[in-house]
Amino acid sequence: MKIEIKSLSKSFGDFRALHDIDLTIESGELVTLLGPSGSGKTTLLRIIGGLESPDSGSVWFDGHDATERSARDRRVGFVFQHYALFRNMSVFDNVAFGLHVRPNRPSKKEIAERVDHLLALVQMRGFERRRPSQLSGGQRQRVALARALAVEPKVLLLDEPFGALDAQVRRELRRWLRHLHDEMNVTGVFVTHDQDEALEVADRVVVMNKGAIEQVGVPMEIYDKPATPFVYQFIGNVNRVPCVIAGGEARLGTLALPLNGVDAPDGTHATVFFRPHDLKLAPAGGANGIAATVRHISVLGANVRIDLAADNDLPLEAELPRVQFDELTLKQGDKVVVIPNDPKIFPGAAPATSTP
Amino acid sequence: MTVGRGTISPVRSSVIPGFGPTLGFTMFYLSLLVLLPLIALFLRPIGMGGEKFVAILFDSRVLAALRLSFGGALVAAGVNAFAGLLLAWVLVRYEFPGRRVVDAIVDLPFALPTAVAGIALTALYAPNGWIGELLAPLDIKVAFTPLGVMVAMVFIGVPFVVRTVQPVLQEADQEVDDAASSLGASRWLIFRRIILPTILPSLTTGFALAFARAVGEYGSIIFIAGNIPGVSEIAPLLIVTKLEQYDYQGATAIAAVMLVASFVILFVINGLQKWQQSRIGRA
Repeated sequence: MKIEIKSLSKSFGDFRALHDIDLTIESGELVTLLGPSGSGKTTLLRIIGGLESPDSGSVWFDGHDATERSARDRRVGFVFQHYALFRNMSVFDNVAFGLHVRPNRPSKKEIAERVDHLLALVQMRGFERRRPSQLSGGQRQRVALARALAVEPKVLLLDEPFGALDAQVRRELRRWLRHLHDEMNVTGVFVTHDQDEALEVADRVVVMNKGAIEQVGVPMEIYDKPATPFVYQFIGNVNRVPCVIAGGEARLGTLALPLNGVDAPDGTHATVFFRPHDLKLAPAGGANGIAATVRHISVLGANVRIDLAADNDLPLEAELPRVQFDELTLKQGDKVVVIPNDPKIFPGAAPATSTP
Repeated sequence: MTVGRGTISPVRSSVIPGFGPTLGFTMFYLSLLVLLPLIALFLRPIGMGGEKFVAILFDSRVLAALRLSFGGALVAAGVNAFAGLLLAWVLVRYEFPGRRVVDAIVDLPFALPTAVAGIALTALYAPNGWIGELLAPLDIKVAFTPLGVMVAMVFIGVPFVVRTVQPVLQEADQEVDDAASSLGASRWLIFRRIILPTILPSLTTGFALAFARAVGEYGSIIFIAGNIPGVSEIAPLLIVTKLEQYDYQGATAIAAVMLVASFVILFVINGLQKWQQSRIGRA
């Protein structure tokens, strides 16, 4: 089912949770809504699911206005962060619940067959008689997923489904979900604040911040061509260096970077963004670049991370493959020049650090 | 003899010290204040002989009083279970101006001296009172009838159900409701199949507490009841009446029966609650 969201806004008291959101999700797509807490991603998901109503704007399912439709009439499957299983019911009854409450309830035998099929799908066969309290977190979430799929939803909404699980289980379930989605013809919307999860699971990523959409794109686009400083900082590590615009170029140390169409008049401030692994280091005095001192070297398996300090103690980070690092023979206190490979210039001073 | 790991033993020094003295005090305190008077209560009727005991109990006035006390208490606890659940629901699920005030009012029957409550209720429900006046044309008499007894019992039992159900409702996950409604369940079905089973144990506790309080209530009832023997006379009042007539044996006989009956009822309710609890399978 195709989902269209048209100029949607929602406030809770003085807090603007969503502001004028427009988004189209194609049928069969798996889209992640990625953003920090308070970015409005969960509110958007709840509005799509009919658990919250917008202040203005509309939600369309396959070209029909569904804004006024209640959650029970939308036929969406919802999976919550804390599982939200019915703890007074067995695993079987949990999964069968959606079938039981249908107006045209299937026969007992049909329900049993369907539940069995779903439990096999989520690899939980044999747990029918257990109570949710007797299951691990990962198992509970799989049961919750089976329960949501029981009503054959056209849309599957997942609200940080793996947020409460430990890293190992998380990674497994992530892959498994991606796989499951490919097998089923269902449109998926997945909320997360974990960038790795978002990039790994999704067909397309919607990056949200402060109730607005910052960028929509396939994972590679989001990582390689961040549209805004926020996306740059939120996805992956990044170095930010303030610079001055002069003569139609950004002056960065002894470097002059072309603006490539960035709208920044001479004399204004701008910020240069580049990834720690997307740069070159050279001994001081050899090449044009940003002068810096090596502060600390840490070996991370195949890569080496080098903490640097530029002028005014501005911290920079470089990540080099072992081979390159060995060629440089760097040690603490050495003077180097940093040459960014593919820097991106955004007008204005660098926003406050918010990377964790 | 070796003491197994994890056994609580006063001999072995435990992680939390002071087991011996604290348990000793607990036993002493309970014995002195609760058990001793109860044992005395049982020993007295034994002294009077079975025949006389039966004669006192099967006196029609005594039977009527016991029936009113226990029957009225059951009805009142039932009313409170329903109304208390509703009150707790409103207090937990909705935000409205003055919610804190309403929350505080719930406790008032706890705090109010029972005699004050009795006088206030009598004034309201008497044939010339505010509410009694409205009910009189309908030929409904509350004050000085068994109905009046139940009104007083309902009044004093209000806080019990609300205060036991409220925290459980508060703890109940809103997401569970959301999950059920996205699966297509109606609001009534969600309440019946999901919310009610979760709160049933605490609702039962509230019911038991309200019932126990109503059975034992004296102060607020004697004003509104009118205390007509065989009609609106409650068992605790009958005990007092017998005491005033120096009929100590009669008083203790009724008291012993009340004690046993209360104990049995609370025991049954407790078992019921255990069973409900096991069905929820708390995490």
